Amino acid sequence: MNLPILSSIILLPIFGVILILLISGRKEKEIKFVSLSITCAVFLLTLFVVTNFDYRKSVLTDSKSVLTDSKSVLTDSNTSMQFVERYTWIKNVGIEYHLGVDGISLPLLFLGSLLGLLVVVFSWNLAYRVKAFFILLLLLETGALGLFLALDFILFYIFWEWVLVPMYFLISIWGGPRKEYAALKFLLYTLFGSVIMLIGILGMYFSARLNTFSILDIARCKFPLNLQALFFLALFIGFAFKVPLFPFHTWLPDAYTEAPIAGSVFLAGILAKMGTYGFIRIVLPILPDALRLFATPLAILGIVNIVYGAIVAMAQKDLKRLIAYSSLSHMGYIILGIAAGTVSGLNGAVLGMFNHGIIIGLLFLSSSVISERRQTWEIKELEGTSFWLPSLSGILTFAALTALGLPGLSNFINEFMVLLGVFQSTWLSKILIILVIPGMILTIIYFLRLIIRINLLQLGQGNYKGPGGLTLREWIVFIPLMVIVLILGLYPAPILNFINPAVTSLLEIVVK
Amino acid sequence: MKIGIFDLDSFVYLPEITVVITTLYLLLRMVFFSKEEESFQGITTSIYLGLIGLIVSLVISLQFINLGFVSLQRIFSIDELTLFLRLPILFTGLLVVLISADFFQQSRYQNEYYILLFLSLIGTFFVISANDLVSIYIALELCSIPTYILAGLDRNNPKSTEGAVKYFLLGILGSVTMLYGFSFLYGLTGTTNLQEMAKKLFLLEQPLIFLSMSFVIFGLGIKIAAVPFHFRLPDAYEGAPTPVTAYLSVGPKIAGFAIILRIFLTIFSPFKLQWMTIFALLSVASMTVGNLLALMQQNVKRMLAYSSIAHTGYLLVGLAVADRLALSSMLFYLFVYLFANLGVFAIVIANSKEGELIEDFAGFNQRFPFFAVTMVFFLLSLAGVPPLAGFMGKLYLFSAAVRSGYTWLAVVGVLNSVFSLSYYFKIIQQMYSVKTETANLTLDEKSRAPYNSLRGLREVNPTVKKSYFSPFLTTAVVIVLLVIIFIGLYPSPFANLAQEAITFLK
Repeated sequence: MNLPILSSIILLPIFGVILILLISGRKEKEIKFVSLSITCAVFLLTLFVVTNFDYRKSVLTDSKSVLTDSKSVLTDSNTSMQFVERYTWIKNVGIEYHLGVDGISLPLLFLGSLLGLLVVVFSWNLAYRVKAFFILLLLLETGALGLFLALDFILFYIFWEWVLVPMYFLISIWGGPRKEYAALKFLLYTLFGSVIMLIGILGMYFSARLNTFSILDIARCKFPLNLQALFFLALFIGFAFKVPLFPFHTWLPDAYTEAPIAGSVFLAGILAKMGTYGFIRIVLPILPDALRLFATPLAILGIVNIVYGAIVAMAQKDLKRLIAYSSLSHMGYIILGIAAGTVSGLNGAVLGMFNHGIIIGLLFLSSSVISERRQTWEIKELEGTSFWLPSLSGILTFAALTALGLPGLSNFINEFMVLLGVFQSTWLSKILIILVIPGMILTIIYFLRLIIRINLLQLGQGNYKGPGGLTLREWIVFIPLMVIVLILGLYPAPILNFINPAVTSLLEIVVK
Repeated sequence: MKIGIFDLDSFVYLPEITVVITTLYLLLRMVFFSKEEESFQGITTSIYLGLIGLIVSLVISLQFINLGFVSLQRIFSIDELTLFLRLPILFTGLLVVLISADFFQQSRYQNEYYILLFLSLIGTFFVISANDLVSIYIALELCSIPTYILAGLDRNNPKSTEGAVKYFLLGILGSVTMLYGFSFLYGLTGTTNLQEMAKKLFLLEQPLIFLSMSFVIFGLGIKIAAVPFHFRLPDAYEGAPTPVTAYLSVGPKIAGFAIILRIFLTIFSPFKLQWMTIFALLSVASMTVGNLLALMQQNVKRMLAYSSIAHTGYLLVGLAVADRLALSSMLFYLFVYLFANLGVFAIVIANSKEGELIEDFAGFNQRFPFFAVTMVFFLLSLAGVPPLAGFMGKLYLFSAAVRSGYTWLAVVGVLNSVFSLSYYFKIIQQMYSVKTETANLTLDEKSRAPYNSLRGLREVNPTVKKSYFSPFLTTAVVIVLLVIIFIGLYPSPFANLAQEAITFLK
């Protein structure tokens, strides 16, 4: 396969941006149509990658090489990368244009292109600065998808920062009452983390002495533990700000709530995954000893995220803030799974990243339609919404039930796998699982309270505007997400087939 | 060296000669045109002539770089460093002339302005090749003296006059101190040629050389605007006409860094450890103080003055590390910085009818949508956000620091870059805010109405006329935009040029 499919995935949105730039700002229909067709094309290309991805390949090549050369199994993670494109970019310092996809990045790639498409469909009725909005959405998609494909540190870093600027403008132009403050806070906080990460990357580059920024090549050197610990801390700060983890999370409630709904979906659905993806893609293969060293603190931070997010979500009066904190809480599970460093823990983490993206998209989108119809985000004023908006309330209830971890729906499986992973983990204490339990209970409580208020309580006072049912456009957005939740809840094998081999081969490095 | 029938030795100074001839011709035009004849057309012709001179000089300089031609080290030395540094100076000249055209359209001092600017450019040109204490001093004065007049060009503005006087006194103080330092060196060695002096200084007593080095650092610190020699500079930047400020933030800086490279790597090389430490301290101080004070400014030009001090700090990282990679990265960063910085000044000029405060940028997006977008690019490049040129500059610079074990300096540098974003984004926020009827909007929003995707229905339609700008300013903006995007995506050729420039260190 010589077609540069991954490059097209990244470059198509930029092509779309150029097209939109050529269209007059008054032709809003045309602009929307161009962005829709571009995101559609990106999604189709991703589907092509998914269908042509050989998920057995990594296992097979690995076992083959076991017979020939036992050494290369542990170090050569190149084999699991597919659709690789690798060109020299800046020669004298060893920066490459290096893209590839494996079982870990593939679900995230799929998630990103799906959410990118749905967000464009969802924003179809936008009427304020349409041209700029869709340009920013497309730029955001390029950055988000590029990050999951980049296999070169500098390329990774460029995409990492790429997303910040479009997101800044999305928040600061289309955001809520405190949009400027929230946008700048988001930008400065995450940028602060990422420059520290850059120093860590430079440190690894110079310590490796390979004159290459390739993530896969640097993964082959074994750094001494003290260096690993230093690099880990530098990278950790970058990732923790992005996820965000507990002490670094203060930008989150502002940014998530002030952002326009498309921005919130991108922030929680895709951008938050960049941090956890970084842990798996970079920390796990390159700094395994440091991960082992810091596993317990990392796990505790994850648990703090779970419990703290749940406690604060309990206290929220605003539906959007509640969802924002529930997202914070759920990201804790993913960190916990990574800290566990076992096959099921990591499977749970990657699956969790995918599932969380879908669920948070469903939560944000459905609640935004509700609040649009009811003209408020206040949970108290939303009481009894289901009498007016039965199908919408049903969707929100469905999303909330998934998010609280109801068995049979997708989120249950990854949370269960994470906890199993902690239990199996050789370096984490099993007491940690007990600490998670309050978080789980609180999650159930605040989501159930929400469900009760929306569905069972009597109709409160409040405004009401728009159709009672869903428009076709809204159905188009919600149905794919709900179908994915249902399928993965009942039968997660299709996606685990991709994740499991990649995770297993990755873990062989760590355990060694 | 002979190529064909041409004796290249006499052609070495062709770029300089071109600019000198252009300047002299402009001067003659001014003398022979009486005030009545001096129509708008005449001025435009002058601008075109100046641009043509600079472009011809640029083309010749590029040819020389390809030839890799190097002359002997006499009073002036044409070596790799000179060949490289001609490019930033010529680009500075080109861009400053382009952004000046609109600003000075109604001014009575147009002719004088262009001639003084060109004189200063000639001075900078000779600074980069000067290889002798005397020629260094004379060239530096030729670079500086016109700038004192330029800073006070806006005679009706008391701020401009005040700033010019301060700038003059400070500049003279710097020059004189440096000259005093030079006098020690001459007294010790009996020569003014840098190479001969370097050979003799190895054997001599150290305290006196160290003293003279301190004087030189003081003098050059003022030229490059490093903290703690920055006092009163922002006054001059604020008062001067904006194109002059643009030139002041780049031209003297190139000159200062060129002299530092020449002097410190030859005659002061026995003190390398000492001056590396001094430059590291200056670097940290300039970055931090520059950024902190920039955050407090309300005037855009003053803010950019402090931002330029902060950028001096980043550039000094190269001298603090002082190996080949770091020095070439410094030159590369200088090249990248001048584009983004002049681009920002171009936009400030575009907005100069509204005023120079940050609030005056409100609604800029509605007046000049294209300029607003480019301004975002320029500011992001200055702050070092990928994938723009400024990021590549900082990447090279800070990776050189990390490689040589100056990780702490790199950490201070990157944190300062993040910090700088907070004041660059003050401008961006203003540009994209809606200028009119915002009061109603916020009142409405205070009731926490739903701010979802449909929020945009409450659109505000301010009727702001789009102003027209001559092609000059737009050309400058487009050039800068293309350069910073191109260097950001493909920095290798420029980085290689900068690396070759450092090979003058034998």
